[in-house]
Amino acid sequence: MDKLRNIIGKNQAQGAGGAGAPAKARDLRLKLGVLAVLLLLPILLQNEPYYQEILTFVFLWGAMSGAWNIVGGYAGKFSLGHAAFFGIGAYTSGLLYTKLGISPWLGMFGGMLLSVIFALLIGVVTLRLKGKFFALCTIAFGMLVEIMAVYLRGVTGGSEGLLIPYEPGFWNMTFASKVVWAYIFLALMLGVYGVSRWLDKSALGYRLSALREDEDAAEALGVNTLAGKLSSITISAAITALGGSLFAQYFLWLEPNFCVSLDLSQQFALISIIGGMGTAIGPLVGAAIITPLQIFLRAAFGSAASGMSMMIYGFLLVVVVLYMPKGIVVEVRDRLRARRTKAVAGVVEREVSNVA
Amino acid sequence: MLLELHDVTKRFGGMEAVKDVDMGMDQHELVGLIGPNGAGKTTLFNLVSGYYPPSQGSIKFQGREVAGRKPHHVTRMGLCRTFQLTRPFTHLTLLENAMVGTLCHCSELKRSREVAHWALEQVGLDHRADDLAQGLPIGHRKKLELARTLATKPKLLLLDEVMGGLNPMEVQEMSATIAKIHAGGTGVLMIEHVMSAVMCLCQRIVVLHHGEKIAAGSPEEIRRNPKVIEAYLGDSYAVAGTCEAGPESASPTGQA
Repeated sequence: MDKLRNIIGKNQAQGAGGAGAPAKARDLRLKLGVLAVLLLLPILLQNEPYYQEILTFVFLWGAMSGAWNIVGGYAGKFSLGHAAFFGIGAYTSGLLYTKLGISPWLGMFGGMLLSVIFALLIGVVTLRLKGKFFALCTIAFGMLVEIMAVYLRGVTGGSEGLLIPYEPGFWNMTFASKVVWAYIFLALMLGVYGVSRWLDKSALGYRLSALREDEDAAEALGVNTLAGKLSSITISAAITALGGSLFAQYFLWLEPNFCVSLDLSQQFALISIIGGMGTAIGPLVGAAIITPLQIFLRAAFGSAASGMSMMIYGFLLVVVVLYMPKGIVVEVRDRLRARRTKAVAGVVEREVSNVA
Repeated sequence: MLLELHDVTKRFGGMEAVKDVDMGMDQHELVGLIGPNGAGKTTLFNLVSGYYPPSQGSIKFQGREVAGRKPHHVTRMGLCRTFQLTRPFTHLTLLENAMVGTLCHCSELKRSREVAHWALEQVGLDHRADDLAQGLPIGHRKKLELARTLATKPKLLLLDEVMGGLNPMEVQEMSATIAKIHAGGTGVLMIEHVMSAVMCLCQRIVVLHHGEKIAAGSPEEIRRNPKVIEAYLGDSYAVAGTCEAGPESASPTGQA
């Protein structure tokens, strides 16, 4: 009997952890491989400006959706107003630079600070709300900031937008080479990935997982749920504002209808939903699929049948959400795990029959 | 006094779910809270653990007022409760479930992992520490619920029907576990419908009926109290309800 228990225990340990030493090494090799490819891609695509730009946007939107995921996925608070944080970051550093000549490298901290202040103000009021009510409030917040950007013409340039002069130089955070931008956004994306990985295995991360599933039960175990949610929205807003500042210097033109729009907020959420909410890698996978798809579809149907691209895009989203409701990463992981558990069960059965 | 309730009342609209309840618990006591369904037992738990503010009266834990504090604050003071309907965090492993509890008094992950292992050991679930809490059978879910609260290192545990839905063997196991926790110096206040276990485990029993305390005393006194027999136990219980459970669950100081 003891022998039996040993076998089962041993196999369970392998099945549940799943990551023996060889599996861990394989995992590490895979990650290093992907990293090497990511580092090489911007150089390889140097003479392909079209693909270079797609790559740059994959990195940017991957990073921004990853930041959204910290509050939308990890804390389970579905925000549809994150473009506001993006816009606050973009306009703050952009205005400080164009009007006062302050380097965007400093201005971006101003944007982050302002974004954090807004996040805390909004968070204290709305994070007490459940599910859809919170989502509705964030939409309202996003629209408020968008309208402000349009109406404060004297400052923001209104609907015509804010043009940032092209004067290449490090302190101006303006670069002639697009390769530099690809690397900057890659660094941002890897940074967001790092923060998410840290969350996976940190005290705050465990608290967020708990409160996402059941706020009352989390409170019973001593989790200050409001503080947890505020921390997550603060981190998320700061990173999103940073992304906005960088985008401003990359694009050199800010327009409320784009960089503070509900469309953009939805895009942040959508990329995470498709990729896999609440996982570090999900938003990056989502961005790698969604962003090129959007651009290709627009290019393919843009002039001939406008609107066609949106139809195909919408159709594909519906298919993914129907068949992979948890997102690509989570579904694939679950299926792999199920297969492994089955394999382990098989081994146990065989060994048990041997013992018998 | 570990816990002191004075004149506690909770009204929902015109309905008084809990009415003028006075009760106290000494350090290290194991007290049962019984009564028919709808008697206000769980409401009383919600009041004591900070989920509802009382409409009137005072609730003191170790001499400090509980009313007006958030549940997480009450837990950090050393008073932790379980839920009648178990609420495992299904995306976390059993160990991580327990760690959520340990993190309230220990922010260092390595140390809190050790405490979480200890908590799972107490209920006999440590062999499944790395399994996800998804799809656990009811017996394991009840144990996990208990382990998570233990992980917060409580001075007083409020257990809301931790034996509901368990088979007789699991009930015995659970009784032994509770006796062991109590022997370790933790006060326990438990709502329970499994009378054999309550009568054998508890040093004192409080009976609620229609939100009011109708009796309090030793299991022997409660069993013979005509008011309690009428409201809850029924005539046959006075004869049938003897301690026939195993020796390890019979003794409240428990050596198991």
